[in-house]
Order: sequence, then C-alpha cells, then structure tokens
Amino acid sequence: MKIDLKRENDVLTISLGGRLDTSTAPELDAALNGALEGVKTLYFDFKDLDYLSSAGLRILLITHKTMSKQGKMILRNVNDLIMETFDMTGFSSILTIEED
Amino acid sequence: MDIKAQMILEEFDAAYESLKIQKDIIDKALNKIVSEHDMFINSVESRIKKRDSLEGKLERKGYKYTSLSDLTDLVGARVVTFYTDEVDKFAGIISDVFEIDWENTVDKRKLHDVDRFGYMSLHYICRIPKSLYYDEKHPLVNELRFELQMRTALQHVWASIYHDTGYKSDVEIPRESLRTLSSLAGLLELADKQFSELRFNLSEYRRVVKSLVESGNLNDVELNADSFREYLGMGHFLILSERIAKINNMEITTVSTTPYLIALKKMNITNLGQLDEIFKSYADDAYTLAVKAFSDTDIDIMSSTTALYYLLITYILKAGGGEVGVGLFLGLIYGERKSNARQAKRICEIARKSGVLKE
Repeated sequence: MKIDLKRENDVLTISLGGRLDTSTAPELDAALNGALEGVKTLYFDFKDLDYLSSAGLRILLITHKTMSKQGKMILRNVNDLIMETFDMTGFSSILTIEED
Repeated sequence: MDIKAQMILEEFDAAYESLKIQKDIIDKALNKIVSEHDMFINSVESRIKKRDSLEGKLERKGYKYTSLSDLTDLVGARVVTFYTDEVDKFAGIISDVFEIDWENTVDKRKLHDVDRFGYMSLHYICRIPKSLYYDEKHPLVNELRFELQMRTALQHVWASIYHDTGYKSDVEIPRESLRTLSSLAGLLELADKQFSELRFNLSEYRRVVKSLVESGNLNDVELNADSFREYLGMGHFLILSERIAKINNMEITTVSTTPYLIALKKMNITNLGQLDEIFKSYADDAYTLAVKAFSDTDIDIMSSTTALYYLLITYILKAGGGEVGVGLFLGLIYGERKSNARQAKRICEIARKSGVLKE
C-alpha cells in the first residue's frame, strides 16, 4: 500500500494507493500517529486507492472524530466502489467528500 | 470616616482570609448543584467585596452597621439562569445546602405593585452550615453571612444596564429614562414568561407524541424531529436495524437522522402513519436488499440510519421510482453529487439480483 504525507503549514494531505484493508490499515494507523498535531485541514486523496475495507473505514471514522475537534477532514477522488461503501453504511452523511 | 467605620474596615482586613475560604466553599457548592441537578444555567459567579466599595458603603450607610457581621454582602454570589422556573428550582435546592437567614431574605420579584415593572431578582442571605465546612481556626466562615442573588439572564441584562446608568435608585433617574427602563423591564418579564411557556409546551408536546406513538395512533402524529426519534426507537424498527447488522455481525454507530427527516418531508411523508405503512409493507424486502448488498463485502460496521436507507430505497423502487428516484433520494440524504446517478444504477442492479426489483 502507498501512503504519502505532505504537510504545508496546518494543511496535511495524505495520498493513499492500493488497498486499505485489514493487512494494510495498521500502516495508515502508524502513519497518522502524531501526524495530526496542529493540523487544521486534513485531505485524504483516494485517487490511487482501489479498495477500502472495514478496517480502513474505522480508521477514517476515528480520524474524522479527531479532526472534527481541531479542524476538518476532506476526502478527495473517491472511486465509485468506495463511495458505495460510504453510502450503504450511512457514513456519507458525516464524511465530507469532494468531487471534481 | 468615623471611628466605627474605621473599626469595621479593620475587622474586614482581619477577616479577609476567612472570606476567601467562604467564597471558595460557595463556588464549589453552587457548581456542584448545577452539575448534580443537570441545570441549564447561564453563569455562576462570586466575588469578595472590594475594600474601597466597603468604604463607600460605610460612608453612605454607616449608621446601619455596628460590626462587620452586620454586613450581609461581604461575599456575594450570583446564579444566572435561562428560565424563571429555574430560579425557583435553584432557590429550593439552596435552602438544603446553606442556612438561610429568612428575616433578611428578599424576593424582589414580588416587591413591585402589579402595575409596576423594575428590578427582578431573588436575594437570599445565607450562612455556611458547619455540616458543609468547619475549621475552628476560621469560625468567621460560618458566622459571616453572604448574599446569593438568583435571576434570569434577561433580568441580569436589565439589572446590569440599570447599574451602568450610575443611578442608585429610581428617584434619581430622569422621568423619561425611568419610563424607558420600566417598560423594558416589562418587556423582558414578558419574554421570560414566554421562554418558560415555550419550554413547558415543548416538553408537554414530546410527552403527548410519546404517548400517541406508544398507543399506536400514528396517523395523528405529525412527522418531525421528536416524533421521528420516537418512531426510530420503537421495537420493530430497531429489530430491522439489528437484523441487518447481523448480516455481517456489524457494529452500529449512531449518526444524525436529520437528512432522512428532510428527505421524508420532500417525499410528502408527513405523519408517522405513512412511515409505518412503508415499514410494514417493505421491511422484509429492505432486509433482503441489505443482505444482497452486504453479503459480498467484509463490512462489519454500519450506521444507525442503514435500515432507513434500505427501507426507503425499497419503497422508491417498489413505487416505480427506478434509478432516477433512487438518485434523487441519494441527493436528498447525501447531497447533490455527480456520483449519485452511478450509485443509483448500482443499487438497482443489486435490487434486481436480490429479487426486490423485478426485471
């Protein structure tokens, strides 16, 4: 799985690639550890993310909760398969998803 | 300044440590009441009288006092509530916490003639009982009285602005300005009354809705945030949610149902009877659709609205709404998105595979 963090002042962009599932979720969890300090806007770029499992969804929900206290979290370039996961679970209503 | 006043000031200086302890005890007791009784309070504040303020008081009204213990506001506390009935509720609790000097306690709300409007506040003169605090090194903490003012936020605004005018009593104020202040007091008294009535009426409304829902008279219940919450908390709806959760042993996370309430209103579903009819007609198909959607995934988490999602999609499909209807529905609950049409198409495919939507 590809995880790329880019910080500019209080804006952090995390670009993900590949599959975010049970085996790769701990990598994202580790990457997030300490990285959100002072971040006001967090972008997740899903352009190269093919698949999101429950484990990944849980990390997103926990991160969303953290960010709602200190700023905002925005998801970008979400593919249809992942959007379907957000829709069917009902989390589309709480996550901020930007479309092109 | 006369010698008597000078002696009182010396007493004040010597008692200052006790006054600080007294203030601290009062703060803790008041805040404890607020948290233990879950009261909706604007503010709780307290202060020790400033030395120059005491000096001024002794110069103006020194004839009334022979010793420091004659003064009842060396420590003053104020509780500002949002509702008038909260003032009375707080006062009721206070009498169990502090010793009240009833002879000097004044309900200034009742001092006005029925056709007069002005300062409205409940002033209690209190002592700290030994059961709350006792230290033989500081007997003054229990002996000295303090003043506790209780008023609403609107009464507080009026009193603060009156104080800001710099006048100490009505007789000093120019006639026109006094009339303005009196009419404002009347206006705020009316507003306080309306706010209390509003709260009472809303609480009464929720009670009636609860009882109508429980009795099954759902057609008589307008669909709104209160009735929707009651309905979603009913056994049969929760059972559908739990059935869907069991498909993948999913954990249910609570999210807001407001987007669904807005969507239902747009769909002309205006009472709980209509919603219940949808439930009775389509709950099983909604479950079948959810099984088809989730069973091919490893998703083990869903939201508290997932059952509603599948129920209303099923209703739309059964009513012939098709992809367009589902797309519009997604727009209502998740907002206008380019992906709505594609997601609607995908949902219809799953509905066909599940047999919920016939070819």
